[in-house]
Amino acid sequence: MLEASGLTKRYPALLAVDHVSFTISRGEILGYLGPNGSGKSTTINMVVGLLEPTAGSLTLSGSRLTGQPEEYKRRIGYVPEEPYLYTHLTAPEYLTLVGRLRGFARNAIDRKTSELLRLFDLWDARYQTMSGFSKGMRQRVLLCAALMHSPELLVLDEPFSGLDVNAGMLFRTLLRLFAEQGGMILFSSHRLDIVEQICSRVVILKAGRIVAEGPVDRLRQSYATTTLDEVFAQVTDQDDYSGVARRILDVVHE
Amino acid sequence: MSDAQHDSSWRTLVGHFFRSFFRLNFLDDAGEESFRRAMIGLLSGIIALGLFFARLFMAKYAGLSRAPSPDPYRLMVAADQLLMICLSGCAVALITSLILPSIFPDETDFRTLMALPISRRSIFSAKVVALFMFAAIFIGISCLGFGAPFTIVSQRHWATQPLPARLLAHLTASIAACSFIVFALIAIQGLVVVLAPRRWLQRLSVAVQTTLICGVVLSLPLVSRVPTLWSTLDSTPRWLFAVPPAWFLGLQEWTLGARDSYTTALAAAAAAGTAFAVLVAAVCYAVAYQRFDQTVLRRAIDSRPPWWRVAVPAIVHHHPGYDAVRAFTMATLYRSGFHQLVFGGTFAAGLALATDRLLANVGAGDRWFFAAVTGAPLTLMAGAVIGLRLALLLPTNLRAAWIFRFAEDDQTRRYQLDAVRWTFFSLGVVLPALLAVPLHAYVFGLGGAAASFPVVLLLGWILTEMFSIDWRRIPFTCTFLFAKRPPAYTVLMAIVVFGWFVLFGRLLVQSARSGFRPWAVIVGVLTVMAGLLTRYRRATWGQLPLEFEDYLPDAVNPLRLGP
Repeated sequence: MLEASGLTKRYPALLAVDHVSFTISRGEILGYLGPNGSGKSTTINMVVGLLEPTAGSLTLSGSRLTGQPEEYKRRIGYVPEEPYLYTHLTAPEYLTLVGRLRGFARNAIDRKTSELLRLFDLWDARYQTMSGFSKGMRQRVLLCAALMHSPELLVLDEPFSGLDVNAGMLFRTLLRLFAEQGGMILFSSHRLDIVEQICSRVVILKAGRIVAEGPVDRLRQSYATTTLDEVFAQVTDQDDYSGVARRILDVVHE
Repeated sequence: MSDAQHDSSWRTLVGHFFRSFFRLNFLDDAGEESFRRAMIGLLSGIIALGLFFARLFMAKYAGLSRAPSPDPYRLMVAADQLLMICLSGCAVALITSLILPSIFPDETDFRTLMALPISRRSIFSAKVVALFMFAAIFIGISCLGFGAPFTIVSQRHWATQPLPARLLAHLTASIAACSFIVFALIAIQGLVVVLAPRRWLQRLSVAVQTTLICGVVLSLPLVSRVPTLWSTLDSTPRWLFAVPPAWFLGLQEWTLGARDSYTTALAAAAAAGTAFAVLVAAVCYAVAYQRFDQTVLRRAIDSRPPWWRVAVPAIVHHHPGYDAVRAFTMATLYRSGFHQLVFGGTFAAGLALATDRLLANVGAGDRWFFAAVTGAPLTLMAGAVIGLRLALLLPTNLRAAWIFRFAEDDQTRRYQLDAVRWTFFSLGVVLPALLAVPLHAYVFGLGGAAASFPVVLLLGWILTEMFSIDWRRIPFTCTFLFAKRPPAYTVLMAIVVFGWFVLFGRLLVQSARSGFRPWAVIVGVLTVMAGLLTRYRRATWGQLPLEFEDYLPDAVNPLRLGP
């Protein structure tokens, strides 16, 4: 189980995340939502250990991030929001790098790399450096790298951006299966239709604080709406879309 | 778009291109700022060097003005003027080579600017104007910086022309020479852009850039010997036609009124050479303009591993962390033109210094010549290790370094750092030592070379251990601040380390060659020293976290000259 308790990140002039707490149990996909600048990426960076929280604690299956950071990170697979990769490497070279950094034997890496590249439809591009890859291809490489070591927790920050329809469907099925087999997923996205399909529970953030939390069905009932989009709009006070759209066009046409 | 709007957007574009010549894409904001400071420092350095030369020449020309005949003065002035033209040319060639890949509008320009309501003509003309503005600054400062102080101090009573005329003629010639160099380099890069197959464009461009920079650095020992040509200039040697800077010396003399056939032919060569370079550069620009989309859009780079790496299984199995960092370091050095450039350029500087020492001691007696040959691998090694350290410090794609932060681990950190040490030793020590073996074998015989080789390797080992002691970075993953310490401090420390290593090392290699017993003692002592340093490094490495952010030193740098 992942347990985030009282997570806070304070910058000199900004409180980015303010006492955020949530848990993810085995087999659960938690949707982590919020408008831009609400503190989603900051939370995720704290969860994966790239940012140190100002306050609060993170525990993953008994390993605390502060006390056993290496043991904690070993259990995590991470796909960042932007496909930050060493694009001068080929996909097999990058996966080998990640595998070696995670301490895998070369044979195991070679075997896994070949299989994963074939399954993710990257085999034909195995000799190309990733500088020529599309965003979707890079995203697939990142997912391969995140899954390689069979993590307990997958942290995904906008993993569907740039993916074509087929790859998107494969990703969705893969995530569901991963969770069914006991994996935990922290899933951050602006694609609420996908969140609605795959997440068992969601947390909605606004200005660094949690403003709504719970299973999707229960949230829809509580806010008397039919879609997660409407719940999101209500809790983030952004429901007058048509009014704002009209004002934008007025400004444009002035 | 109205004319005024068009002019405004064109001026914006010129400003954008001009600023981008001072920017390196791989640096973060702080790095870019310090790179700009380094460029300004370079310009100041040219002016300082010009004044330094003037000071050196003052005494020489005071002596020549007292000579009974004007001939030595006349020939010496011509040789030194050629030196000034060469120095200005080298400075401009170096700067232009550094920005070589940005000389033509590139893929980023195509993708970002062509989508805007800006014509292709505006993009190309703005790029050309920005390039000329950038080149004009460096041409102006280097020609004035080197030429003006020299012309003033060399104005003595044997001078046949008044100072303003000489100054004007010299500036005209050196500006023409620098312009020739800029156009020649545009032409070379243009031929690469226009003629190279697209899949090879990037690599060829990098190879040409590295070759040009190394060429400039390697030409410095020859340039420093230009003043010694004075005695041959009177015989109007034909081989000077093969030396482009000499064409412009001819142009200068022709401007001052010399109309003899030799001078006229040199001046004509200068005009023809410049016209040819301008023509080729213009044609390349025109072709690139016509085929913008075809020439700039890159194709995927194919990086198939060599057959032997696929066919031969790994014999030695290292720690995974060691393997990961070694493979990453070598792949980056192999594919990143910028890092190759830094390493290659500094290595070439070492080669230039070694060549300079050899040229200076040819005919100076066996003792001095043998000393220069003995010191050659050590000089090369110092250049290679310094260049490699700088190349490994410079980052690439900093945002992708999250994977190293993510995978950092107390247990594997030391093994990862061991891979850095392996890179230092293999490329910084073994490579230069092997390169110098044929020279040692030729001069000292096979036995002498065999005796020198282990001593040279051990000295290199000690050097790399000393360079590695405070190292806490995975190569290319940490931000880098240029000139974070005062340049004078850095240069002084580099000279001290370099001087100590080459001088002390040369004495040891020479002593080791004198017999078996001294050889055994020196090898033994150096092995113990290297072993102790290795032990110390291994005991301390990896205890502190890796560095991913460079920082400015918060304390003054004491020179520790006191007791």
